[in-house]
Amino acid sequence: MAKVVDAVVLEPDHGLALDVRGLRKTYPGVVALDGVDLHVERGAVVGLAGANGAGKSTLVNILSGAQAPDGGEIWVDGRPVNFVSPHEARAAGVYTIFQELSLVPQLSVAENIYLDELQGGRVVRQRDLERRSVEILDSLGGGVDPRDRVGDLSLAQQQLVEIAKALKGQPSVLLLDEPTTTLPPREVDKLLELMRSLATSGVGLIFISHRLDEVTAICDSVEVLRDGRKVTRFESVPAPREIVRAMIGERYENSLAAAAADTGAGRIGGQVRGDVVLSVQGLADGQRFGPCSFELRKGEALGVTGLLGSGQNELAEALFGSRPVSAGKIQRHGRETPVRSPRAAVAAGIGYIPEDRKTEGLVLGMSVRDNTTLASLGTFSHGGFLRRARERHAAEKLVDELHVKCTDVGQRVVTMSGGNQQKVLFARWLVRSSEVLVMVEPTRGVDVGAKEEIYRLVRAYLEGGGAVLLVTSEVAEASLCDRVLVMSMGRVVAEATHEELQNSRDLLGHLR
Amino acid sequence: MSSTPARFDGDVLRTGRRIPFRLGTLGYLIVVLLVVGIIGSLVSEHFLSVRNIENILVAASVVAILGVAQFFVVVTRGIDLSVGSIAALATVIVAVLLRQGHSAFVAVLLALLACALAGLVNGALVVFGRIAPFVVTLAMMSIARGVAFIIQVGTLIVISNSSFLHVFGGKTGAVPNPVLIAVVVAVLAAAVMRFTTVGRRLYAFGGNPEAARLSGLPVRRDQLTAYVISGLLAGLAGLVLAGRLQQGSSLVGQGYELDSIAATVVGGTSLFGGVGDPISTVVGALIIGMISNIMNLAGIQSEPQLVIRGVVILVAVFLTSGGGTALLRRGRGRRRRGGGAADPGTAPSQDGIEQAPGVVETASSRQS
Repeated sequence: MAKVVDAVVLEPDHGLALDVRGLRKTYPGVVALDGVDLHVERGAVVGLAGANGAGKSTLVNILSGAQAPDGGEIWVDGRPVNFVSPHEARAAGVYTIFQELSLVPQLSVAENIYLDELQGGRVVRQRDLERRSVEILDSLGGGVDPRDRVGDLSLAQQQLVEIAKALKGQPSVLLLDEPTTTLPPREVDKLLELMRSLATSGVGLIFISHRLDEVTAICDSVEVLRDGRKVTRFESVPAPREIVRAMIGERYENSLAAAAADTGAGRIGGQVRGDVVLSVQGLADGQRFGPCSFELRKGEALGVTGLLGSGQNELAEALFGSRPVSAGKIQRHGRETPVRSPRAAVAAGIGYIPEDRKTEGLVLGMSVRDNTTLASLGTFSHGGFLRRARERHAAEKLVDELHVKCTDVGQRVVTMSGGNQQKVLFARWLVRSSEVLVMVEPTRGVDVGAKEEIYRLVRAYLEGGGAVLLVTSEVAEASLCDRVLVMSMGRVVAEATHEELQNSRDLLGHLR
Repeated sequence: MSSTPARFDGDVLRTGRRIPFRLGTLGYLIVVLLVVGIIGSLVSEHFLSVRNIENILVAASVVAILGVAQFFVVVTRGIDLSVGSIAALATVIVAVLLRQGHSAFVAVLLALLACALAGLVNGALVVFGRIAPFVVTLAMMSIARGVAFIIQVGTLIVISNSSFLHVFGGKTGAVPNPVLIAVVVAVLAAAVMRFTTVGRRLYAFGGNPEAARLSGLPVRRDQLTAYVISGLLAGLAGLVLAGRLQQGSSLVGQGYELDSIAATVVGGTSLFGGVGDPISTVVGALIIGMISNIMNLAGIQSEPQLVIRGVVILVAVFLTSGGGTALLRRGRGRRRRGGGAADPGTAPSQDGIEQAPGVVETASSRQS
């Protein structure tokens, strides 16, 4: 008798394209997913929101078949499924489109769409592939020739190909992980329209985007994850502000992190004190960004933002001497300072926190101490010999000040969390007493708490008389700064002060 | 206020460091060395004789010096296939100069200078020519031996300068000079890597070249330094060879590039750079030397020896740079968790993360 009842309880709702129940995933020391449910109706678009570290990526990894869950069930179209590889996930009807597309640039559109059939040594009939590709592409609105080389297409067109590739397998559920991040606004609108029409055809869609206005524009319902649990399901579309509150929790309400997530007012800076410490005139690299001019004052936070690939990252690299320039001057305190290499930049008192702290910032196998002193070996040596006691002392002091969580300054940074690693990078330039700090996407991939801490560190650094150039693709994060430059196609196209941004939310929309 | 917690911190840290009861790389190597030694003593009663041990040490000292030379390049993610040829070049240059009547001092100095120059050319081609180290040093391997052959004109050149032969082939007390030289080289190299800024920068560059560059380190100069040191030490190894063989010849030292790589990887240096130390490399050379000595004592022909040596290298690379690294880490993590149980505060969570860095990284890198 009891068995029958159980069976009834477990019987899934037949209107659901995807029914995830009690999904669990534990990494050593971390519970990434703690019993998460997710329902996607056929023909619905479900938004999935959550701050960094909320478990969003783990959920995506499991649904795409990249990782196996530790517990819980996944039902697709009323059938329980169990997949342990991306291939099996697709076969089961769940197709994931990642932000980084999985296309082969050298092959044609048709070949890419049918890539998984191009195996086992069968003879490929090119014309057949192209004919079948046209059908799918036409249903998506066309505009792409199946014979084109994928590498020659625009990003938006490539995404179309990726979607065509997904539809070929007639999936029940389509998961799009940050598909809009790299697209210009007009293409974003097109993509959202396309998603709508896909939903109408009966596919269940899961949409992940950190741009909450897009989420509210297209989704039928929104699921919010926090700390590995589902905290809220909005059955009707909420205001972005409500999503943010659910995402970050009460503890961080009215925090800088909340402000950076698109609500309320917040400011990192507000310490500007007169003299210009860095002046850039007509800096250009002749390829990725055009002549850029700006000044940075003591205690000032200058935000530089733009869509990905607008040239802001390249500008930051050039400023740090890591990218050759074709024209322009850089002045420090009114004196011309050629910055031809990172070494020269460091000597000129400029520090750099790169976009990817793991591949560009830290020596992962080295200790907290060694990473901290890496840019200041001169100060920590005498006649070429290291003064290890001083190194240890300085590192311990900074670990203490910045609240870096580590058992010992001898701990290798590879074992630390993203937020703590970022603090170690910060410590590297604090110990060097760098006057100007160029930071690229400093809060990417860290959780809300760490994000808040990083903003506070930047603020403390500004209070101490430093100046920050904060390069970020998040307009809201940039608007925490005293002044914001907006870049597009390698040029500065707009400039606004913090006050202007706060007084006009429209301006923010315009900048985006 | 700040001094008290600092001291307290220190105490915690000191106990914290004692908790992960762990044999370092060097510890493992010494265990392996002892095991090989025991096997050796079982295989042949001559193995532990003073004469045989002296043989092993003298033979291993050349490989040890070449191993340290190789280490400096490997730690920067490079590889130096030219060390054997450069050693041969050194034997010929010194022999020619001595025959011409130059003093031992001048001959040695010029030979070492030439070898350092060969290293500099290697480094310049890697750094400025942007050619892969494998290709550059493969070419130098051929060039250096060719130059040695051209200089020597004819077959080998006998060395009879007594002070040269004494310094590089004689004994000080009961200790053969080659062994002394190898020990000095190892100790100096270890000190450079551990106590100087150059050493720290080489580790940083090998660990993450981009991070080193973006920290404002002189990465080009450091890479050049590594290749120059490698050339210089290869030359020194050649002088030791010349002292032992009492001749200069373009034919000596063939296959030594392989032995030197074997010594570094057996010594735990990662071919991906940034990890390892010179002392372990020397122990690696010693292990290899002992293994071939045992094979000789057991009467194994030289051809099967080549096969066995190749297998030893493969196993070592597998464990230090290949798929075996994960295996080792897992094993070590398990052991440490057992040892750390006494203090639940620190160790377990730490090695938990270390156990699956790949997983944690993918999880966080997908987040935007």
